[in-house]
Amino acid sequence: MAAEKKPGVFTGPLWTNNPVVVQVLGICSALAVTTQMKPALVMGISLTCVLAFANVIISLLRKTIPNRIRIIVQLVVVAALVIIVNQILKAFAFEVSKQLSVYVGLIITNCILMGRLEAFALGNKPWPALMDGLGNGIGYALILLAVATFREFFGAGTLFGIDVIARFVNETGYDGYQNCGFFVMPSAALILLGCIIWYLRSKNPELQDK
Amino acid sequence: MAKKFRCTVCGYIHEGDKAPAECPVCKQPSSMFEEIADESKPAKKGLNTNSNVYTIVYALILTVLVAVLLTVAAVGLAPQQKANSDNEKKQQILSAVAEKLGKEVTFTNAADIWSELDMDNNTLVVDVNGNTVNANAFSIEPKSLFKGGIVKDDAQLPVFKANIAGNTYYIMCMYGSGLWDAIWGYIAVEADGSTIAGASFDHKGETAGLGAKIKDDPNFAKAFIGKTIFTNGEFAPVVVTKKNVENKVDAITGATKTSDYVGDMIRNSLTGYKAYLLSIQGSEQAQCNKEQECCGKCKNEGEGQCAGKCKDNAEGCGEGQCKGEGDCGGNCKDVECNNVVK
Repeated sequence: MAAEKKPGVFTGPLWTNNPVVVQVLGICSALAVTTQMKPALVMGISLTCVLAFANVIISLLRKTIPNRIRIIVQLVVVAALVIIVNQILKAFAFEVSKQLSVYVGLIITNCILMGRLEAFALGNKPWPALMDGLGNGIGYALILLAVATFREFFGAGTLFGIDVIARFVNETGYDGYQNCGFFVMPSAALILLGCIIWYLRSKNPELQDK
Repeated sequence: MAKKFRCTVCGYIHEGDKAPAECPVCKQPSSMFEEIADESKPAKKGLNTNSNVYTIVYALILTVLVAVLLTVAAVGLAPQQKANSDNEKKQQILSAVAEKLGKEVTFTNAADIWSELDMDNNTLVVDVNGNTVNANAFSIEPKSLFKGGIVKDDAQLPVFKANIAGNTYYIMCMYGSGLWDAIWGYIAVEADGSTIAGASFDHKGETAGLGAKIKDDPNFAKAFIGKTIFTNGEFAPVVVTKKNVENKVDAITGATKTSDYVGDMIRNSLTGYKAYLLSIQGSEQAQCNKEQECCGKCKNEGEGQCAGKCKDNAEGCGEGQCKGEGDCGGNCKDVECNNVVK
């Protein structure tokens, strides 16, 4: 069982078992932080770190956790982890913590965390749990970045805050493009996610619902 | 160690190394027996992870452990965090005059610029009547000065004076609620007590890419430079709108609400400083700077009175009967009020 799981544990969540577009976890934050690429990247990295650590901790504790309060235990571990990390950042990397502070709440309540802790970490050894955490976190970050690229480019004409379209207009003289306000709205993220799911399922017949 | 086997037909339990050839009760063959897990093993460890006592003790230990961890982290890192947030405050205050400094104020260079300008010794605290109060300006939390978005009557408002290239700029704090959470900032006013020399804004949770532009887009804060707080002696701070009006800053596209709230914050916060700003205007230095504007205003009421009139506006009015009405600057232009002052 463990031997067959290991190879796919890390690479699976990156694409064919992606937490956002296949497991459909963490959609709420995927809508909230993808108006720009920078917050999407910060959120992706933070979630990866928290998920990897939480997975390992829960995996180490898995045999001691009373079944009836396991969800609360998971929540306490995650919340404590996020708050402690945030405190440390506040003291030693203040600017990073400022960017992160908005997302602390979003990380704690992210369904991917609870989903992976419950589905994987509770039943696996620490090493596969770490890989699962990293894989799912990175898979989540990739989707976030993909959506954010479209939304920031068409919605604000920038990428990572660099005004790509304005520069293009300055240099070539072509004009007439208006930023599409629709892409800034959360509904655009939902449609983009839908397109990604559509593409993914058409490429991977095994994912299609029969 | 004897293993246990249960007959799946009648439930008879056999103890031994392997299942019996035949069930002594129902005569089924050994293939109908299944091994049952040794229940005595976990009991010997003394840990039944599903018992009530275990669950409660586990929860208690976990809670205490996490509480201790969080306390240690919070208390142990507090001095470092305080230094950081102080530094950030300096950065925000100085960012209001970044344009006058001619350089960007970053988290790294804020402390240096702060001591270069000797800001620690150039602060004062005023009350809503414009009188100086003895208090430490830097340690005042802007949040504590406001209640429901309005300046408290007994608020002690900090003023930071930045002396840059021979000019004095008065930096004042602002605080209000944005669309999602708190917004705050600092606004720098020139020695005439009305012209804005710069502003800096920050927010807790405005939408990234939209409302967050009040901080992220440097052009938004820059647009305030040169706008005024008083128009023709009346308290009418710069507004943030898309409408075509005088003395305004363009609202942010897609963030109409946040822009509105920034305008509200400026107006509400400066209301607390109004008396102090008027006293700056009344001071000699401000009088000289304002001469042209002053004379223009007085022409409406007769040229001859210009100099005296303006003094009345600033001094007589403040000390005279108009004081009770609070809205000194505006009211004095009214005929009624003029009569009272005369």
